[in-house]
Order: sequence, then C-alpha cells, then structure tokens
Amino acid sequence: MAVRRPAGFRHNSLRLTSRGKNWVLRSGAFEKLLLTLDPDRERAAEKYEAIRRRLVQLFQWRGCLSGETLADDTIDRVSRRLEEGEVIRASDPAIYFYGVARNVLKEYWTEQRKEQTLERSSGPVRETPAGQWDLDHQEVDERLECLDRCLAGLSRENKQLIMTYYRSEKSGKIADRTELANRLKLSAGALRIRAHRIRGQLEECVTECMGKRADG
Amino acid sequence: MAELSRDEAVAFLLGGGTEEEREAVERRLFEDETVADEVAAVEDELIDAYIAGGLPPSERGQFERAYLSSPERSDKVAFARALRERLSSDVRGRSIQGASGRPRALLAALAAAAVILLAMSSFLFFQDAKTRLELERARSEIAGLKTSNDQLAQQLEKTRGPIAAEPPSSRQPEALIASFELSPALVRDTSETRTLVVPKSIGEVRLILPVEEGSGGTYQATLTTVDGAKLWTSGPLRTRAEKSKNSIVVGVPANRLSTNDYILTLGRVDAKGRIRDVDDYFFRVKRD
Repeated sequence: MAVRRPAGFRHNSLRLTSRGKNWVLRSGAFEKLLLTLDPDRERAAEKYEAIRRRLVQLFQWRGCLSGETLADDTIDRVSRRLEEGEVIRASDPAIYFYGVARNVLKEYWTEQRKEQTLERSSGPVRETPAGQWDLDHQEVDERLECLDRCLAGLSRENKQLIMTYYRSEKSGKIADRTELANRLKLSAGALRIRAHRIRGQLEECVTECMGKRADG
Repeated sequence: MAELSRDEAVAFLLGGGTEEEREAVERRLFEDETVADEVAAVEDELIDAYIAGGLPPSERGQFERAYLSSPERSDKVAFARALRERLSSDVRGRSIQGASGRPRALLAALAAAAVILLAMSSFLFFQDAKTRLELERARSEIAGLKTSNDQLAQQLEKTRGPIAAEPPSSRQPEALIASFELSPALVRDTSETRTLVVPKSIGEVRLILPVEEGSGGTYQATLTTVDGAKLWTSGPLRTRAEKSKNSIVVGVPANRLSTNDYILTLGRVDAKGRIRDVDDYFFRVKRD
C-alpha cells in the first residue's frame, strides 16, 4: 500500500520547524515511525494514513489556514522524537500524535498573534474577510470538469451509491436512503459514513485535479 | 465510548463551546476513528444545508465566519456546490432522456393529479356559486396545462440525446467578453499605459496577466483608480497554462469600468491566508 509521506520527506529538502530548527525526515526515521504504529507494514500504513487524516481535520476544524502543512509538521516532530530515542507510552499512538498536535497548534496561534501585532504597527498585508472567496465562472466550470473526471474514476458501485445518496430531493431523501441501505445491507449510520468516505475521495481527487490545472 | 451527538458535532465545527469542551471532543476524535468519521459526516451535512439555504440565521453567520474565511474550507464548500450542481443536472438529464419509463410515470402522476383536482372541483362546484365560477376557471387552466404537458412530452421525446454530455458553460447564456493582455509596470509611465477600448455591449473584461512557469498558488486581484479608490476585488485566482504560456485571467465586470485610468494589483495568498502584493498593472479604459 502506498503511503503518503510528509512533504519534507518527499522533497528531501530541509524543513524548518516553527522553532527554527532544521531537520530532515529520512527514510529510516519514517520506517521507525511505521514500526511504532504496527509491526505489520500494511496495517502500519493504514494507521499512519488514518492518523494523518485526523491531524489534517483537526487543524482545519480549528480554523488553521494550512491543515496539511501543520499535520506534516506534527508527524515530523513525532518521527524526530522517535529517532532521538523517545518511546511512545500512550496506549494508542494516535493520542501521542494529538498531544504533539496541540503544541503545534499553540505555536501556530502564538505566531498568528505576533503577526497581527506586527500588522497593526506596519500595515500593508491584507486579510481575506469572510465571504471574499466567491468563485468566478471559469473556476466553477473547471471544478465541474474535474468532478466529472473523478466521478468517472469511481467504481460502478461507489458511483451509484453516491449519486443515489446525494441526489434525493428533500421529500424523498429518507425513503431513498433507507432503500439504498437495505439494498446494500447496511445500517443507516454505516451508509452515511460510507457515503461520506466516497465523497471525501472525490473531494481529494478534485483538489488534485484543480491543483494540476493551476500548475499547468 | 459515548457517541458524539449531532449538536455537539455542529457546535464543534462552528467553533462553539469552551476550550475544555473542544479539547475533549478532539481527544475523542483521536481515541476513536468512528467519532472523527461522524464529525466529518456532520460537516458534509452542514455544508450541504448551507448551500441549500437550510441553516438557521444564527448558524449561517457562524458557518460563514468559520468556512468562508479560509481557502481550504472554502474549497470544501465549492466542492459541495459542484457536487450538488452535477447531481441536479444528472437528475434533469435522466428525466429528459426518458430512462426507465420515469417520464411516463411522471406524466401519469400528473394526469392522476389533474383528474383528482377535477373531481374535487366538480364537488365544490355545487356548494357555492362564486366558488363555482372560480373553479370553472381553474378547470380550464388544468386542461390547458395537460395539453401543454402532452406537447412538451412529445418535444422531449424528439430532443432525447446527449444533452447531459453538453458542457455546463454552453447551457448558460454568456455575456460578451473582451480580453486584453497586460504587462506589469515597475514605474507608471503614462506614455506606455495600455488603453483598452471597451464597447458598451461588453459584459466582462478579461485581463490576461502572463506569469512565469512555476507560479502556482492562489492569487487575488484588486482594481483601484489611480487616486486609490478601491472599485472591485476578485475571488481566488489560479494560474492557467495555455500553449506553453502561463497566465492568470482576471474577469472584471464591465460595469465597474468607465473611461478612466486604473491600477490592477495582483496579490498572492500565502499559507496563512494573507495577501502579499506581487505586481501592479496600469491601464486606461475608453468606453464607447
């Protein structure tokens, strides 16, 4: 199973932590991280991806502007600690990651406050107020094209599930979803989570497609 | 592990609750992946409700503050809009194409509804003279609608075809667009200022700003007069590649431009959502 490694590892470049120290996430440290999660590499990779996903969500739900970067920073720090000999004592390694993420978050807020103080004294950097991010027509069209491409890449079953789940108009929604759940032999809650996961895959695919268009 | 209630999840997503409460939820996200999935599923539903206009005013304001002030969360909203648009057009396409006899069932339902309405109107006809007159009018309208419906069904049968394959942009009426390429200026020199002649019929002026290869990321453009009066700001912009040239295209509504001199300031959005000015483009507009 392919594992998405933190950006610092992928580009093999020096990564500055917010404390200003340079540290490179090398292959050995990453393998040690995986081994800490599970002795079986496949299961370790799944756990790694699950933790990374939750880290990204945590930072986004906290209103941070670059959840992926902060999640990778957290992973880098955990890896560095493991390489320096620290042992994760938490019963679930995910809790350890959360603890490190809390520190990353606090540093992020401190930096935000410092920069707001600087801006009050020096000035010209502009904030983006709420509601500023309305899309232009061309971006809307591009996003729809990307969505079409990503929908075509889904398996037939997943495509049918997501089309049925999200297509229903309000009055028929409950009945349609109940019928879908019965057909797939799932509880309503399980169907909801499955639809959410497929939607998440689509969203990632569209984000990647939009990014490729931007980079040319 | 106690499940997270929907109200707890919504409060968490909209930034409500005390710091202790938020930390408690976050711990549960990491202790139990199903809790994270649940919150994420509630997030999808919250975004969908916002797009459909189904959030109460108090939540709507909180949602906009939480979700429309950062590029990553705005992208989630934009994706949800695209998904809704695509699934709505799929429903329209399938009903036009007549898949699985659905339009026939729909027409049968309409006909049944018309018959029921007619039956009701006949009953009420005998109750009140004034109502009788109004119902008589209604009966005529229903009959007329049924005829129109039958005619529409015949027309739809004729137009059955790859309508769903039509790209979205071609289904929408487009305003006339005038495109101009601009170059950045280090120093404003009136002799070098580009003059754009914009006829009255133009709805949108597209300003094409060439950029270097590798200039990825998100940008924003601001239009001001040379006196500094801010006239208009774009949404998020991204570079486009065409025939091995990269550019940023800024679509300015033509009604913002009169005969005057302008400055278009291009700014790049950093990871923290702040905008750092990159280039200024001076140009003159002459309206016909």
